[in-house]
Formats: sequence, C-alpha cells, structure tokens
Amino acid sequence: MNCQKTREAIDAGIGKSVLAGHLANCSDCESYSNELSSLLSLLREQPRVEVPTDFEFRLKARIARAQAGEVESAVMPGWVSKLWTGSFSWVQATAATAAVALVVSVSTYQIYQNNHEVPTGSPVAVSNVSGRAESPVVSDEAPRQTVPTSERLASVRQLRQIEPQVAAVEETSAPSIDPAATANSMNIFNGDQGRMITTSSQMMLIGAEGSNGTGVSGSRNIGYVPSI
Amino acid sequence: MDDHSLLAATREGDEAAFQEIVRRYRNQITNYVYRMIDDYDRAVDIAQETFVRVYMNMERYQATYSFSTYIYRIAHNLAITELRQRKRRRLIPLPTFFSDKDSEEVEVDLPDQGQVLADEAIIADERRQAVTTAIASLPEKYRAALVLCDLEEKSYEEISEVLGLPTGTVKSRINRARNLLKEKLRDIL
Repeated sequence: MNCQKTREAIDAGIGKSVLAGHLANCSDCESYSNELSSLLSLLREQPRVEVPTDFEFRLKARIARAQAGEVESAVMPGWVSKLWTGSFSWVQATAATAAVALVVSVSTYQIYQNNHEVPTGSPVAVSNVSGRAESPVVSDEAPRQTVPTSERLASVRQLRQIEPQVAAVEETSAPSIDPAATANSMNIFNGDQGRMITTSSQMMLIGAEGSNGTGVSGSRNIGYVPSI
Repeated sequence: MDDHSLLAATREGDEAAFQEIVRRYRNQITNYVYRMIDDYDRAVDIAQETFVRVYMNMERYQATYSFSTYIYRIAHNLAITELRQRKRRRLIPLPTFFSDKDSEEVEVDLPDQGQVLADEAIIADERRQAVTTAIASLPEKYRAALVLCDLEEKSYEEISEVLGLPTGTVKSRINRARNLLKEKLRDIL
C-alpha cells in the first residue's frame, strides 16, 4: 500500500492495526496518523452543550403561537398578515408604495383625459347636436364609451356644418318672430337645424315626427323636433 | 419505539410521542447549531425553531430517509440562514478577531506554557476553548462537514443527505477542515 492509499485509509478511520505494516516503515504516514488521532481526541473532548431546563416549556408556547399564526394566516391573506404584523421588509414596502403610486397616477391621468377629451368641438356642443342643448355635461345616462366613435364623429361634422347657421339664426331669426303669431305658439330651438322655430303646440304634435321642412316660423314645415 | 413510530403517534395526536422526539434530539440539535454559529442562546432558539418546524410540517414529512437526517437538515438550514443574516447585519463573530480576511488562517491565542497554572482543569479548559475557537473560525462549509463527522459522529452518507452534497465532496470537505484545524492547533496537538 502506497502513502496516498494509506492516508485515505487513515482519513476514513481504518484502524492502525490494518495499516501497521506500512506505518512501521513510513515515518511520514505514522506522523500523519498520530496527528489525526490527536486532533480527533481533542474534538471528542469537546463538551456538549445542553438545553436549558425551560426548553420544553418555551417550545410548547412557541408551537402554540405558531398554530395560532397558522389559523390567522388561513383567515387573512398573507400580505394582510404581514402588514398586520409589520413584517414587510423595507424593499417590499418601497416596491408596494411605488406600485400604488403608479396605479394612482395612471388612474388620475386616465380620468383627467376622459374628462377633457376634445376631439373637435366641445362636449357641450356635441350634446347640442344630439338635441340636449341645455343638458349638463355630467349626466346619469349610459357611459360615454357606449357611443360608437363613428356616431360621435358624425355628430361633430354635423355640428360644424350648422355652426354658421346657428350664428345666423341668433342674428336674424329672433326679430322675425311675429308676436301675434306666437300668441298660441311656442318658440323652440331645433338642435338639428340649429335655429329657432315657432309653432303651436297642436302643429308641433302633428308635425313632430319626420317632417323635413325648413321654415323658421309659422305652423307649416316646422321640421323634425328632437326631444328637448 | 423508533422515530417513525413516534412521528406516526404524534400525527395521531399523541403529545407524549412528540415530547419523546424532543427529548431524543434536543441536545444533539442544540449542540450542532451551537458549533455552527458559536452562540449558545441563539443555538437554543434555533433548536426550538427546528422542533416547531418539525411539528408544524408533521403531515408533510415522508419517511424516505431517516428522521435524524431530516431534523439535522432543518437545523443546518436554519443555522446557515442565521449566519447569512449576521453577515448582512455586519455582526462580527468573536472568532474572526483571530482570523485573517479569508478566514483561513487563524492565530489562536494559546496560553504561554510557562504562565499556565499547574492546574489540570484549567489547562484542559484552555485547550477546549482553543478548539472551540478554532472550529468556529473555519469557513462554514468545512465547519458543517467537520462538526457532523467528528463531533456528531454521523456517517458520510448521513452527512451527504443533511448537506445535500455528494459523498465525495463531503469527504473532501472533512479532510480540508481537519487539515485547517491541524494548522490552527499545531501548538497543542
């Protein structure tokens, strides 16, 4: 047996009696063996520590706490539990704060964009086109998103077309209304045509639907009057 | 009653069976952790945490290998976590005052033979303290293998399972640890 094999055998704890032949003729290996024996003796002399007398008492309390914690974590989600017990690390807390800030910022921006969205013209003008000249911007109707974009764009185009007419009506139509003729009549703003019309309630009832007349006043050709 | 029978009884609600498991392993586990982290109070604390984990995960334990290996593995992982947390907190363990920057070379402050009182007990105590300090100064990967082999007297196969390493690596680490200790304790060997 050579020195390397002998030392491997010594390290593996094989007894000196087995290696006696080589050790008797090799002082290096014998020294190696003696040194290791001394070291192992020193290590085995090391005192073993023992647990304190209240070890089991404290262990029982600790297990009870762990069981209580397990019940608690079953009742509330982990992150709530961590928040409750304050066991978030600084990194986790910072990341959570950043995430909340990001969500709030994006949400605020989206709300701002929705409230100030002006494709062409103002929201009030769009409302006028749809026949609600005096309706407030905020309504309890269905959400804006339900109106198809194509419809909205068409309304805006229509508004652009009638804007000059509205201006003209404001300048000219009001003086042309005959006070005598309005004794039994009503002045109504036609949102589609962008002008004031005067009509009796009777004619309005008769002609309220489907007429394409363009008269400004009188009982003839009052035109389509959308809901006011 | 063997460990697996005690565990089965514990699962059935037998608290006395779990007490017996604690009684069998409490000192071994505490001793192992103490040798790893060189702090008795924390070693006791970690030993308790080891038993808490055993108890709380009783249902998940599968007897694929010995319970002894299983509990030592839990204790080892907790001890390593403790050492890493200490490094993160920059706590300097006492033994590193005697070691150089890579913790490989240790100048153990052994008593001058001429000044030692001729009291056998005191001499023995000094030697034990020197060995304790030298063990604690070993790099943790060598320390774990050495403590399990030469203090806890585990087989290579058990150490391999506890540390999750091939047997060859375990043998190599044990030899390396012993050689380092021989260097550190040359004056008293």
